Amino acid sequence: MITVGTNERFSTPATAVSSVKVIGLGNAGLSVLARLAHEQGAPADLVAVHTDAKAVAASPAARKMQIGHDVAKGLGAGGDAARGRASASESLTDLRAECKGAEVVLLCAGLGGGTGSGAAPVVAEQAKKSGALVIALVTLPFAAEGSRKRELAEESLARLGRNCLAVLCFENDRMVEVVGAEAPVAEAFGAAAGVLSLAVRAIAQMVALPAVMPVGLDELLQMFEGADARAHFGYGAASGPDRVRLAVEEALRCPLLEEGKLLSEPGRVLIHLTGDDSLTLSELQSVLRRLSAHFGPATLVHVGVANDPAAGEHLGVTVLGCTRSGVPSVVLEDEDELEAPVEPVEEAVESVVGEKPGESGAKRGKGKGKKNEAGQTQEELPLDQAMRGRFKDLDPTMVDGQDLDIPAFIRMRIRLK
Amino acid sequence: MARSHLHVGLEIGTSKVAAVIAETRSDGLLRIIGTGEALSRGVRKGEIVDIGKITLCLNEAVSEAEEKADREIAGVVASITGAHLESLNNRGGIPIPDDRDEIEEEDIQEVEQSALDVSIPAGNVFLHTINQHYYVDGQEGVSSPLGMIGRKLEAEFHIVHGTKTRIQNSLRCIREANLKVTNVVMSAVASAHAVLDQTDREGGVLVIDIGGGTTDFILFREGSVRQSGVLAVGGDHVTNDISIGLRVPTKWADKLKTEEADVAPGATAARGTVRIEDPTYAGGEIERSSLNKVAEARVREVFTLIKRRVHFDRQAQFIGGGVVLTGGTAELKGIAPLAADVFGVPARVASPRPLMGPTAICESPRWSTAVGLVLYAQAAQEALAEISVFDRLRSKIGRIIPGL
Repeated sequence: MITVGTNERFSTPATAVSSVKVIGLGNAGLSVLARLAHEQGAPADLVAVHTDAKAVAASPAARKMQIGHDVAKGLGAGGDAARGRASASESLTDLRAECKGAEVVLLCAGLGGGTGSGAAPVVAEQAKKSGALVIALVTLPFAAEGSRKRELAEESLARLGRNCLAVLCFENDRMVEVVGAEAPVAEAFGAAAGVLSLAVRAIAQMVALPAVMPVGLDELLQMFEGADARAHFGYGAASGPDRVRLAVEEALRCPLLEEGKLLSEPGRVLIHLTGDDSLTLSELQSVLRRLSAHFGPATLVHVGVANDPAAGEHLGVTVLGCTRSGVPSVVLEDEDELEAPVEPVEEAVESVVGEKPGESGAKRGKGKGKKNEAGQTQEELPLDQAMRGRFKDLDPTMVDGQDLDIPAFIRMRIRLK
Repeated sequence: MARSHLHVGLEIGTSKVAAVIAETRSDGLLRIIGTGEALSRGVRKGEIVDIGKITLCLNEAVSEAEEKADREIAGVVASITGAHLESLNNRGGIPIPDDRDEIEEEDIQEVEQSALDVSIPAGNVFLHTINQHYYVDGQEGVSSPLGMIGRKLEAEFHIVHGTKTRIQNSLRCIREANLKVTNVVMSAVASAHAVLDQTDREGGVLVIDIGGGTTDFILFREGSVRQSGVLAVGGDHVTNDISIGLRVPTKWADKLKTEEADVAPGATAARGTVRIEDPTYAGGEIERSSLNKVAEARVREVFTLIKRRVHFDRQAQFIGGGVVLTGGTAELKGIAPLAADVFGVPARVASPRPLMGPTAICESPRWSTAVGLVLYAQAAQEALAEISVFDRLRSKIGRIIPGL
């Protein structure tokens, strides 16, 4: 029996989070769920929430919930955020019951519409009250959709921020670059949902899969703390002997990484790998080496590795980064419930790549091969640093080319429950 | 006069500073009269990184020992560890001058000098020159050639060397505490003195002293030192692995290590969980199998690396005494069965040999190095009284490490 005093600050569950719920809200949220539902081994429960009875019925999610029977009468919120909010308010108890038991709730919605913008802050609040840690992943409307939608989204974003530990914003304008401006509208929206679903899955995997090298929730939260964080996201998966190169290249091809901000601005980057037992340390190092050339000199790099037996030969590489756009421009008119912002969580294992912020590498390039000044300061692998724990500031103990400060079970690839 | 019979051993380890004061009684027996211990701060992997902090710890441990012994000490025998220590075996040889046949003391000194004619890295200094055996005119197995008749004297030595600046840094804090360093001993050599007797050494034995930051090892074959070294991996690494693998803070990881972990080969299949009682902790259940796997992987690796370093497979038949484990981390549950599994010879955990005085400390393998230091000092003094084996050793150390 082990007893430790209560004064110890500790915020990360020691084992993988057991219950993750993904709540998809509104049209955008439901289309993300639809993608997730068709993927194998998504480590989370999917809950579809909408005012539109037909949309809810059509969702392949395991759990479905129609909100605002009286307010919306089984139809959509009609782009009216007030109706969306009222619908959610009508179903408060149900929402809270649905969230019960979940340790982490990932809330996906498209902001700018009725149900997403209006209901998302309410759902987040109920999830929080049920005891879950809430992370929202939201899309922001296309610039072409007009300034009214943008304002609506910004306002919703500010409300969301109060009940979420983190809000990740994905800008539709940038996400459709996946398919290019010439693509049909349907395809463009599909691409946005696709990117979002990849991000949801990556985060769910980070917190729920047995981690060889865990990413603490605290690390995630630190990255995306505050409502004004803009997410950069890249994901690639590949198999075969050349899977490291292919996966990294695919991840870097994601337009959210080509924006250039990730490459130059001081910020945080989380690199997460999933794979089965065949994933080797040298592959991890290779991934990091390839990616590290693209970071700015002051970038903080978090590294996580999760074991996904369902991945088979596939190596999955997720790159999540964020920059802050500044203080939210929206001032809320009705402060219905003021709560203190969530305290920043304790510093997690992290490593500093490079030393001083720089303006290098802000150029836009095409895919791979971008280099910046930071590339020269990358001899020390961030992976090693993160895994060395208390020895991270010391000279490594190198024996036969191995750094013995890295836990033996990781180097020996011993699987833990 | 009394002071010359007082021996003080000071081990500055990664996890603790230990001081042992012992006196040689008139009947020649060594009696421990005081011990002191302080948590170590400012030491990583056996090497001092913060002189200010460690000096405070050192003062604390020494004061405690002085108080218990009711003596004030001036000089200490200090242990040295760290990955910079290296060893090698080398044979030296000299012709005996034509004008005489009998081997004299100066020949013995000269042959040792000739054995030191090896290349060691620039910036390194010799720490120990431990004689293995002599050859007189090619005849093997001579342990004391003094007075023998011969034309040629050869000798094999086990030579330990290390980085001069690192040794100096390790000793600087002792001077900061206004103590004199009278001798410097490799930790493994000291621990072996504490846990082995002559029979063990003759029978062949591998001593592994697992501390907090380093693992020191020394292999005896046919009574003499054949291999020695330091691996900068110790109990702290076990703690760190547990902390990372099971995602618990260091404090818990340390508790899990010392109270729950079992590194015995079969224990990785252990069932059940360990409950952590803490209201601020969400998932307070640790799988025993995971805990044991993480700890076992690390300790097994340490043993495997040492096995390779000492070329154990080639020596196993000469190691009748098996593996002797000591040092604080040797208190890990199941460590002896694991060592036996890796080395394929019997293994046991050993505490310092019984001495007179407060015997409680001798019951723990944590004290091997500190107790070994006073035993070493006593043995050295005896040797000094007889012939000059130690004198030569000391003069060498005095020469290579200024300020002693």
